[in-house]
Amino acid sequence: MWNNFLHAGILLQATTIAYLATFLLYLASVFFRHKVVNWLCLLGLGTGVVINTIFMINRWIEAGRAPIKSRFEAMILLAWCIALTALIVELAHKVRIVSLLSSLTAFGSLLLAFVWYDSLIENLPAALQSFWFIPHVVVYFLGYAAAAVSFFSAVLTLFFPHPRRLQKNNLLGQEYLDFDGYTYHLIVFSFVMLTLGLVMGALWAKDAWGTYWAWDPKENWALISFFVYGLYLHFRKIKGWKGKPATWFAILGFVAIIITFLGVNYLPTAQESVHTYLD
Amino acid sequence: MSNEQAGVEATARWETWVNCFLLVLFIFFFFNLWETVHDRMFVERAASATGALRVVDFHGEYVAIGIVGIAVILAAWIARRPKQMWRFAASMRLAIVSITSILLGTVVGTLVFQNAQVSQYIDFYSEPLYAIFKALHFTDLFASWWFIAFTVLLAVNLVACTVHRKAWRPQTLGMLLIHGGIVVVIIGGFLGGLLTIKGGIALENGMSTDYVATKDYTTYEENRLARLFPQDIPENARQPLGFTLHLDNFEVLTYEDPYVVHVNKLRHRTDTNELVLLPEQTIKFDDKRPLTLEQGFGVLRIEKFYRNFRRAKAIEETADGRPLAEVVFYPAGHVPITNLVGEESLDKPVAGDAFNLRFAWELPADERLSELGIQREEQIFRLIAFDMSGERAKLELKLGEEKILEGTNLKVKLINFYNDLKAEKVGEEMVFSNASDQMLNPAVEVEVTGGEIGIETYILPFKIEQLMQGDLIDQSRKLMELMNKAGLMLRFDPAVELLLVGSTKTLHVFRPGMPAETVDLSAGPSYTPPFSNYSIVFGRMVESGAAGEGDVFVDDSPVGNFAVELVLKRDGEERRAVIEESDNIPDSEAMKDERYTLKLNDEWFVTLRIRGDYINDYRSHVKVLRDGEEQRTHTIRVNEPLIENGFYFYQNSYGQGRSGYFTYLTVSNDPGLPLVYLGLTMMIVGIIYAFYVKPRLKRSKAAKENDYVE
Repeated sequence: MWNNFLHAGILLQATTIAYLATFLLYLASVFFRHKVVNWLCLLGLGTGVVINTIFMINRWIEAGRAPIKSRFEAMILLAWCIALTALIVELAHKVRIVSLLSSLTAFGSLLLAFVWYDSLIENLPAALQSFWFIPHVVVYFLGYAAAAVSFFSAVLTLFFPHPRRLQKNNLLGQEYLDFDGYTYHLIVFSFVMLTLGLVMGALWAKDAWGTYWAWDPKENWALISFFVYGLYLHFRKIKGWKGKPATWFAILGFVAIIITFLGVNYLPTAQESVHTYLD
Repeated sequence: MSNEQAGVEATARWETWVNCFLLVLFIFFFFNLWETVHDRMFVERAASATGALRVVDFHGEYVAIGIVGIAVILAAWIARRPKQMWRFAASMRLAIVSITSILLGTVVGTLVFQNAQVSQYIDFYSEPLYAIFKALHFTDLFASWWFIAFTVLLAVNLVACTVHRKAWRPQTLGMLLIHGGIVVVIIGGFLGGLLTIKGGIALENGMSTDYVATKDYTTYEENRLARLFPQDIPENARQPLGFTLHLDNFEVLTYEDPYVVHVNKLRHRTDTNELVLLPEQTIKFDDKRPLTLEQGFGVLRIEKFYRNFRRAKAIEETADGRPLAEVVFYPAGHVPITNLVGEESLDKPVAGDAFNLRFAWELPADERLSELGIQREEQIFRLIAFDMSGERAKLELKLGEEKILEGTNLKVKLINFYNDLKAEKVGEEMVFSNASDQMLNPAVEVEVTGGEIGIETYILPFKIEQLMQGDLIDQSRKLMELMNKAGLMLRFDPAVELLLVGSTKTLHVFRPGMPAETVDLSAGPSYTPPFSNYSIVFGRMVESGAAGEGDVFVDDSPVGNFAVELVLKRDGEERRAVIEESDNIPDSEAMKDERYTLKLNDEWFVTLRIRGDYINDYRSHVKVLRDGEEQRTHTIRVNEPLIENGFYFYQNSYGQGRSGYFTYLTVSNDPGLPLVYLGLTMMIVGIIYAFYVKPRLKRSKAAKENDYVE
């Protein structure tokens, strides 16, 4: 991992350092409550997203195709999606603790990218040369990222189950906290993205294999995630679940997403799948 | 829904039990109906298409019982306190039961192999577990009656729930669209599952067809296709298209930039304390200028790229002036090939005119015969013979039966059948037996009598025929393993794609689409194929293909073993080396092997990496004709099917035909597709409306009202 980091080139190294620095800054802002530190946090996160974007554009040009094929490239896309989601959540809701955990996840995602590092840019097989390739993957990764952020929000709900108004200059540096609400909104977004991804995948599968649904392990787990989040939304709406019971469901949904994204590679049926990253 | 929920809970306890009992009954009758319809639709059609032995009776009475049973239950449900039955159908409880069952079923479906071979289950899980899986339909879970029953229940529940709430207002439009969409997709899916026509067709340039092979006929085993040309499809396995499809041209495109040569430095991994090769510099395919290494090793140049590289030993001239290439045999399992033929008499070429028929056997329609316990004596095996012109003749034989091959004076007798062929050498004799009870490596033993050949015995593995029709590129490795297991020899000719299969006495020489040649090994271990520029010397077994003095590098035939020829100039000295691609780089073992790395010194190594796929695209340029009139042209690509008359034609694969490549297209005609697309559209529109449009409308409406109030 360390050797790969040394060989990864300045852009990816800078992105990684930016996310790590952002995490440390957020951590520091818990103890040093000062506006300047808060601004530095946002600046760090923003810088990370920008360099991450430049890296992906650069790789896109170099490869002559979207950089979303290998597992290595996927982890970088995921880091980008997570950081971007955190940035939007922070700007929209002024909630900073989610950014703290998200910047750590983006950093962790890049560490995994170094574990699965591949300097070699691979050509695209005929099966992936489709109109649906980019929207299908990007929509799913936005869904995964929102699910990851919702997971942190859900974990925080376990500690702060009720919406509360806080004093200024509090430990978390914000005025109003409603983790349950953030979790809900993030899961709604994730659910919409998962549904879009599922439908796009079906249309693509019909064009490529002649069947819109093949009971592929990845498809199955995507369906399971869809159902779990669907149940979460129904319980919330119909039974009025809030706080802890809903939160445990949100966490369950994220577990299903993790299996969908990475876990299926290790299932007994993985060799039958067309979705595994084999490089 | 909390009101209905309270209503259901308010019903007497026994009421719930009666409902559950009715539910179980419903599922039972549904199962009855489904199994029968499924057998009728699929198994029997498969049986008739292949002229098979298994006869499936159409159980009309079961269908009747199923329909009547479901009707009675529904009537009972409606007649007995209809309100409460309706509430049950629309209840949250039913939703949770059906969704949870579908969820758990799907999880199981990703943990247990689907439609795999029996041996795979037993190897990976265990025999008792397999029995449990089988009993619970886990091995074909997504087509099992219980999974389908729960899907139906979910659809019923969604409909009942939506209607029950009488929620036909603009505020609930999104919700209605999402749930309605799911129901429509389920209905479309069932329609497709029952009525979809599937098939396949293989075409060479210039061929036309107005029918395709039905799926059941093209599938020899689960998920494996026998790719048939129009003339090879039997009458009863032909699916008419209603138009004529003509293949103008099939082409395979390769990437222009398929590989990279890395100059690596040997480094210590800090985390695992291992030595690895890490690339420091890359030399690309299109680098015109030679690369000067800073380390002072000289100038490195890429001389040539090989798509399918083989090392052959030094070529000598034979008496008739043809170059002589030795075939290098890899160690073949437990059979010491060195014992089969001697090392001497390299200069005795033998004409391959002993026998010009190639045999293969078609796996009978029911490949699970050992599993089903059908008596092998009653099984009919079919052999295909090829003469020099490539014409086929078929023979149908039972075990022990002898027949004359049409148009010849040859008598063919089926001596034995092996479901898992194993070959062992006992003394000077080759002994064949079964390695297991599973249908892993089926083969027949055939005795041929007559003509000039006297009596000759052949072992005919089933897979060879399949491979000859199939794609040599992706199957050669599999075959290699298979042949090693069977103790038979296998090697490709360095010059042409050639398959050598043999035992102690005879050697079969196959070329795709060509009649086979059989060589009598006892006459001498050298052979000159009429189509090759080489003479082939059989014999010496070489442990591996390591480079050595006098190596020749051969590159022909389709993609297989990538390699690159490098020239290193240093101090006026020129060093030439060929390195092959290896999956093991950057592991430290690979760098010791001269086949995969060019060693510059103890620290620096040159390696080759292929950029993933070498094949960029493969496409069929086709014409659609009606009554001989050209209607349209289309290029079928992997993601761009031809859609005509309800039939979708997909670019599935390709292979080596008699003259160049042939294309293989899979075909599907799914009448449920419009419904599925409609349902998916409803879901997308509904979900975006419900979560992102409606709240905004609400907010702007609220804002307006506020303005009004102010």
